Amino acid sequence: MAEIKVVRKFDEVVDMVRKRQYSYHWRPQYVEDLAEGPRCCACMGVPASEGADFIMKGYGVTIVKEKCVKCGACWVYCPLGVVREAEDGYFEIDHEYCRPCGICAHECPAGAIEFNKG
Amino acid sequence: MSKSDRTYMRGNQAAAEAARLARIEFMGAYPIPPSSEIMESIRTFIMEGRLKAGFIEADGEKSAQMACFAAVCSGCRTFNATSAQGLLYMHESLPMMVGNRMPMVMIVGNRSVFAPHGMLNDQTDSIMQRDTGWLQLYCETVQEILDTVIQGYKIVENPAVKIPLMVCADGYWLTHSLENITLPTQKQVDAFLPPYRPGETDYISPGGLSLFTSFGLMDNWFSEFKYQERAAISNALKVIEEVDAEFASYFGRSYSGLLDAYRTEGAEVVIVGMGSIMATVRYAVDIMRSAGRKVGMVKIRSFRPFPQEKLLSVIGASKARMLVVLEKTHFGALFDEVRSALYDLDDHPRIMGYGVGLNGRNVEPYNIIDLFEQAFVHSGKASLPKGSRLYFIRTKDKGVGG
Amino acid sequence: MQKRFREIFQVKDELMLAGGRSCIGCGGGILTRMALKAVGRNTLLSSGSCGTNTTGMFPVGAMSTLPVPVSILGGAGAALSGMEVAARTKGLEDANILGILGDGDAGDIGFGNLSGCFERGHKVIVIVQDNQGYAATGGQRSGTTQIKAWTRSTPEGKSRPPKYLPLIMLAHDAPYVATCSVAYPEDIFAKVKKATRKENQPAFIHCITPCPTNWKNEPSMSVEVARQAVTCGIWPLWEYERGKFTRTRVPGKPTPIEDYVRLQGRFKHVTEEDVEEMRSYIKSLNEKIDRFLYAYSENLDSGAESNKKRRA
Repeated sequence: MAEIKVVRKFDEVVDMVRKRQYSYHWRPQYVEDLAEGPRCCACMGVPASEGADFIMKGYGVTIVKEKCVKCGACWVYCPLGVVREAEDGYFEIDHEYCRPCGICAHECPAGAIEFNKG
Repeated sequence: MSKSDRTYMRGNQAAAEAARLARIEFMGAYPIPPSSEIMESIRTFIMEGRLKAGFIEADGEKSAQMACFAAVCSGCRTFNATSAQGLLYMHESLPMMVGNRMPMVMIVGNRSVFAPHGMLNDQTDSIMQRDTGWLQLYCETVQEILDTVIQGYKIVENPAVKIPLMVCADGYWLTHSLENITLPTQKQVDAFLPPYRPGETDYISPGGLSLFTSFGLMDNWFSEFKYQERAAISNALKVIEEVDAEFASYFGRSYSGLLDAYRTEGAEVVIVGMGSIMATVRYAVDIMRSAGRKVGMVKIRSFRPFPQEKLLSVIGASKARMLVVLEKTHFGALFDEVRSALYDLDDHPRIMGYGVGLNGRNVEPYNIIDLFEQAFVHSGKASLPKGSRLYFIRTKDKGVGG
Repeated sequence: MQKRFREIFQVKDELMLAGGRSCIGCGGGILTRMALKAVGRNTLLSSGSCGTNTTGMFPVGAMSTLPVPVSILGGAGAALSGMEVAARTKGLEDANILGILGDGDAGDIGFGNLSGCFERGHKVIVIVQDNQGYAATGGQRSGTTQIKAWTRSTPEGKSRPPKYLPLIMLAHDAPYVATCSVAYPEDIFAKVKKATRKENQPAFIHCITPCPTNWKNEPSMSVEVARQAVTCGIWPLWEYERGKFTRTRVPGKPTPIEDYVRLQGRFKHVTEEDVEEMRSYIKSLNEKIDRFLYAYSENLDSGAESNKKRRA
């Protein structure tokens, strides 16, 4: 079960106060916060790329240009709109905002998108 | 005293367990973070057969509260849980429950109110309902949530009271925080809290008497009804203390009734506040006292009815020079209450108020210590202008935070 | 470029930027993006609870391309009415007043407001992003939750079928009512385009948007779920436009309900009897749609006509 974390001993803290040595960052925790488990990393308010690193480490989608038939399915079906038109009518993914869901990989009729699950 | 379980529980779970132990008979609720889990848990208890109660998954908080109104009318022990916007949406139904003298307990997972769209802890939502007439008890720990719900039914169902109660718990800080608590057994709670037996005129049934909400009541008796209501709310002052003392004799835990004065003897500066922030203040008081500074705190447990006399006597006895009122609102409700309560004290201290921790901004022991220091700087001096309302909202400052 | 996407592709303007905080695999993102492509920049938007996820979280603004006054839950119908009248007063009659509401907002808590808005006949477009539950508060049931579905407030499965909003709004004499699915974005685009015509307003479009978080499907399969909802008949696609009713034809064969159920974790507990109940619900739903629309339409002279056009 969750452990109660003690960052500093009580006497240590009293000593710091006597000496007026405040540190903004110490925070003795007497109850531990339990995150229910984010329902989806997006709700934690972290930028998409950070969130993806945090929870979906190693997930990623890549368009294999050689197999692409330029049908536009990935561009249309992306829930975030991170698939952009590239040169010659091919498509590319903006990995800064891609939160790898894999819909484009599933919808691609040519199997040109690889979905890696870390 | 029989053995009860020590376990880990979040505030939401504790509230749901308390309602189950109190053998509620009805819950009509609409989900809203942070209190949605309470409704989900009760629903799961019903599905598992651990609780026999009627349940309505309402289509809105207004519907939910009106369903609760109907359930209390019918004589059920009723429960509800909401927060912020949901509480505001059911605002219209709240005075109805009070005027009709209908007892029930509602959990408010304190959360800030739009706009801006914040969804974190703040006491604005329940404090905005302070004039509806509902009783309000504010909890400092998860254990207190559990115990207050059980005590709550005993308070509201007392014939001298019959006014509904809001049990206010800070959203996320308490509702989602895990704490090591004692979970009483069903047998213990049954011994303390008998089933709800409404009086003959307190509920409706086919063939029974009683008239609820006479429509079109003109001037003649309105004041008299309101007078009775106010008298009942005043009675709650005594009943809250009695029930807490009785609870202590059954379970061994007490919350000092209406307010908890901690190390106020001989204190020069006293912080007054409500809710989970007082746990942080307790810690800060211990640090300061150990460093030789004379400080104390008063935790207001019962915001409605406000314990004016008790506060007067506690502050008078402490001979404090300066009071710092902390609350998680931006308009100084508790500040005004405290000032008004201390009006009759001959040698009353100076009072400053701060709105802190708005929308979940963390208040750390360091911040409390800083507030104490500010109070020491200003107390006794004429540095604060007379006639001004000394209420401030703490914003981010260099190295001070808020 | 697939032929069906060509018209959407002409619209290069991206009104929904990346950086929103919707969950991975959110169907609502696809709906919002397509709908906004269809309405264009001359739009005032009011969005709902899960819809606010696509607008991003301060200080990130994924919808800073459009004015989006976010109202309280349940106030959308009233907010849209107000925006419409105000726009007319200010001489902006040709602006599109669009609301992308959640199913809880439109069907439950905000239903009264929505009904009032349609009764007064305001020139607005209401798109319901139906993820069949109160997704933004954690996935409790709503009026439109599917029969037998697990939700956090119906842990044993919802016992009753969903509230069928499109027919309710049709009974308000709305000139344009349609259903669509995120698996057919060209269909969403075409229907929203029709809804932008003032003679078709107030318009009501009801779209199924799978929510992997609460339907417990693989996020990459969200579009597949939306597709199978249509092909198994539990989400019939149709359109009513000022007296003319048509069922929308989609490519592909009909699929069995079992495949649809198997894709989603919210139906994990479902038994053979439950599936039978769902099958009879599908049958009665489609019959009900035909009967209602036969009563409302001028282009149907007999039930046989609509039977010819029925899918599945």
